[in-house]
Amino acid sequence: MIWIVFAAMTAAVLAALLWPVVKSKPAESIAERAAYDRAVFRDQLAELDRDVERGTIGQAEADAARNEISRRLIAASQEAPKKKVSGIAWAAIAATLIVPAVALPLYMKAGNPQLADVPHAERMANAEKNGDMAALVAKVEQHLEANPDDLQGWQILAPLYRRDQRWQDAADAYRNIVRLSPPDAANISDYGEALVMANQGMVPAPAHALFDEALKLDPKFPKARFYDALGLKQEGKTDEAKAAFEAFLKDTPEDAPWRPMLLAEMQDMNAKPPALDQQTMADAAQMSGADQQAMIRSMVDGLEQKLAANPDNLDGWLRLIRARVVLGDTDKAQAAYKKALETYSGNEDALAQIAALGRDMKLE
Amino acid sequence: MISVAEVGHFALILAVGVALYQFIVPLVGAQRGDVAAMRAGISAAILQLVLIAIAFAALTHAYVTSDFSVLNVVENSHSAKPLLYKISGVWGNHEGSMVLWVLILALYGAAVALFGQNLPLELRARVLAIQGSIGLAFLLFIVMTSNPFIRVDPPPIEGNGLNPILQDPALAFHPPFLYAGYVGLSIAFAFAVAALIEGRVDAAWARWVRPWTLVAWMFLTIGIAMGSWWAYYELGWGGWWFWDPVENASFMPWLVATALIHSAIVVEKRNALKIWTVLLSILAFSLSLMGTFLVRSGVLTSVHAFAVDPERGSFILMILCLFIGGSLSLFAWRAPQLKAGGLFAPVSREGSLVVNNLLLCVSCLAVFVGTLYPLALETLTGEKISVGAPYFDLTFGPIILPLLLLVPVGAFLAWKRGDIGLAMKRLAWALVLALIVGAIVFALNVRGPWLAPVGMAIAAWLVFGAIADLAAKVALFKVPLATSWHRLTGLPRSAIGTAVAHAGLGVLVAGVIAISLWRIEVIVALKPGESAAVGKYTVTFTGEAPLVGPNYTGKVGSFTLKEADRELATLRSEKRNFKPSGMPTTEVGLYQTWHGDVYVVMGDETTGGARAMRMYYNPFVNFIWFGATIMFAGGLLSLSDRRYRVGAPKRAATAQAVPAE
Repeated sequence: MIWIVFAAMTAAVLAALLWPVVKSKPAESIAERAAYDRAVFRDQLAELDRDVERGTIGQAEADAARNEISRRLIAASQEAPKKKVSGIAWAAIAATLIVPAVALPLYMKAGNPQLADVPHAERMANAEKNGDMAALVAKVEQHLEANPDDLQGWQILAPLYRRDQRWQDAADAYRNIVRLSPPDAANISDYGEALVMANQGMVPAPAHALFDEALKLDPKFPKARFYDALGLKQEGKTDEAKAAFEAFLKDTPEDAPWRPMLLAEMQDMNAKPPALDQQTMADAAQMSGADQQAMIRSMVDGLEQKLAANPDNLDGWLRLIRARVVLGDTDKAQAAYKKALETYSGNEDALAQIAALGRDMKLE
Repeated sequence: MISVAEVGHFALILAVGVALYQFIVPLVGAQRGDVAAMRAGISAAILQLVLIAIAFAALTHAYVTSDFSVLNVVENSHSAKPLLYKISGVWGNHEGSMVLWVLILALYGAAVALFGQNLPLELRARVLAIQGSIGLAFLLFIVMTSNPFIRVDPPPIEGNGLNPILQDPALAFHPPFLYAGYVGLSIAFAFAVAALIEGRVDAAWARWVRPWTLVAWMFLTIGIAMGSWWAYYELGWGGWWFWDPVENASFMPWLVATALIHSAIVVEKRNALKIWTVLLSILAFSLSLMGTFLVRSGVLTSVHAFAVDPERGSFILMILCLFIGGSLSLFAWRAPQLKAGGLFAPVSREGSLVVNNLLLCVSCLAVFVGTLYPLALETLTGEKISVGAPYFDLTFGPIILPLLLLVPVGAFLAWKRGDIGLAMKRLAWALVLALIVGAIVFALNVRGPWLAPVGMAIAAWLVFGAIADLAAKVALFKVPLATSWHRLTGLPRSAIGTAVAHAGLGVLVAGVIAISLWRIEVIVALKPGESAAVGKYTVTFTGEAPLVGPNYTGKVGSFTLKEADRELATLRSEKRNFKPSGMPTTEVGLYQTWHGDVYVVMGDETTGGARAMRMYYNPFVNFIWFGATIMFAGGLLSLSDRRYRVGAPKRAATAQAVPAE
């Protein structure tokens, strides 16, 4: 469809270029160059006469000027007219082919003929009809901006943010859910978890407080128990952490989806290297435990590829470096660290974050 | 549904092909004397305008409908932005502003194609071909490195917003004017190169090129003035000109363009200064290309940034070398073949215009060095220095002062051989009035430096000199007033335009001198209810309130302005925080009178509930922009002169026997 428009445009352009060539007037009807010059010089003479009439120019000056202009006029009249060619110029007709020859390859390279326009208002109006998740999220956000106390709205948003890994937004949504609903261990734990994710897998103090609060409401709530133990571990309270993990493990059924993750975390505590990336772990937890390691590796490789294609993703770089160290691939971690530094050269903020991680992970 | 954005993209790319055609076919046609090929250039120039206008309209459509499937819209717009700034956002960014650049270029090209019937066909074809080559270079630049029609799939839901500092009516409209000036110089350039190719520059050529140069000069004048007005009340620094490289980038072509419109007069009247005028035409456009390079390559924000992402900068640099180098080489090769023109004595109208040209070019050189030296130094040694107002005051000032003194005198000198004594005699009363103004300022001026009376006398000298020029032309008081009036209406418009523009320059100089010497600056911390004195005014901070705009929030401070217990106005100064970026801007509280502005800026909170306030009394500041507007009007008057409307010669096809060869 759009190609019909393009074809019509091209045809119109060619027609407009060809028209004067085909319909060209004969050369004799075009005035000689000298005629244009003479027109100007005659006008200059007339202007001089007007100046004299007005008295704005002295007689001697006027005479001198008249002499000069007259000489120009005579010179222009004596000029031999240049020969002009007329008739249909085949070269000029052939040259119009330049236009499509240049335009088509350029457009094929740069254009996106298959894409439609997406005007904002229309997109928002048809969000439901088109199942446009991004637009729906924006609509709910807009609604919540006006009605920040609408619990249902936050309940729609929170999992969507989670899915898109917009952890800061997810934390905000869960905070509102906690604020608007009766105390509930699950909601509070979700809030805490979002904070942890937003903090690159480290349990920050406010999140830890939330997990404690959740455990007060339901001492057996698994998510809160896990993160509580993890927080203790990250704070360096190794004995307490070990006790908490072991107690949690005792209550964990054999087929619980988080069991492998829990085991990995405990194993890791004995093995010593720093904490596994929570993001990776959270993803891993939903899979069966058997080929966890392989899956994690493939995910990390995927992340690296993503970053190669789209390097402006600081979170991604930090995750990649951490994951490489955790997996024991020191060389690869080193390479990722270097690449991240290069990517953000000039961005002092980002560099500081990367360097801090590098120090933690003993990279150079 | 047909995608408007893709249609625009395709139109832009078609324009590349048409530009190539416009470059080659008429140029070859003019060389071979092929009428059909020369006429094809005319169609191509008009087509070029139509195609780029479609592209520009499509981009505007994407902005107005907030089509975030277009990357450029995502990066520079936001659905909550007021409509005006959605539209101005089109050129408020690099890619869109380049499209505006080529649109204006195409406008000029089409204007020559449509209104150039008074030009010989060969000349018109060659001018259009050169225009086509410029268009080709910049269209390729856009498509290759700065394509505004790059799409995003899937599109994000919201855009990043326009730099809030650019969300202002004056800024919305000053780039189009400035570009109309920059790009207008391309026509003078095209005429110069065409003349070099033809090997002929004569009085007729000068007459043909002059209106286009004048249009470019007018737009540059008004564009620079609007930019300075915007900086004055939007940036909140209380100043009107900062010798910023971006400002200098537009000021340098202005200086050379001013020289050019003066030297073209000499070519037209006396067939002299031809080579020089051709050189000026090349230089003027070269400087505007350089301005585009400086502003667009990112070299100004940081030499480092340019080195990291050199694609755009290198491309413009290549365009720069190609056009400047190419035209100067052509100049070196062909200029010696141009015949020298009329002779003149040193003291003559021509002589005075030569001095005008020299001073303007030297002053331009001073600005050039001050603008580029820090860049060169940073590139070579990494050392960052800033060349500020003191440098320019010391270099530009002394060069331009004698020029100002000479302006009225030059207008009174006769062509060929002038009589300075006679000129001064006819200017005597203007000189006396100017000295009186200087004396009055000297008497009233309690604290200003010695420059104040001198500067004001020069401003008065310019204004009275311009009046004297007109008075002499209409023989005021020598003949009955009615006759004088009749003579005035009969004067060539260009003569009136000259006087008006020179008087405007005087008004502008008065404003510049006044604000540089007598501005009052008060910086205080005020709590609500407290007052500060600014000159003869008292400004009372009445308090602040929260502020919610369409796409920003902030604080608005209220002030009452009193003069000796008489309440004059309530002023509001705002601090805005723009939503998508969180960037803060200030809105100045401005009280304008004919003799100056009271200018109030609410600053940050200090300890103890007070706010830092910056207040100025800027005397006669509006004279600067008023003067520039008068200069623009002078240009307009001059442009309407009948001699630019000499029609095309009618070809008496058979009557004029062509001599047998």
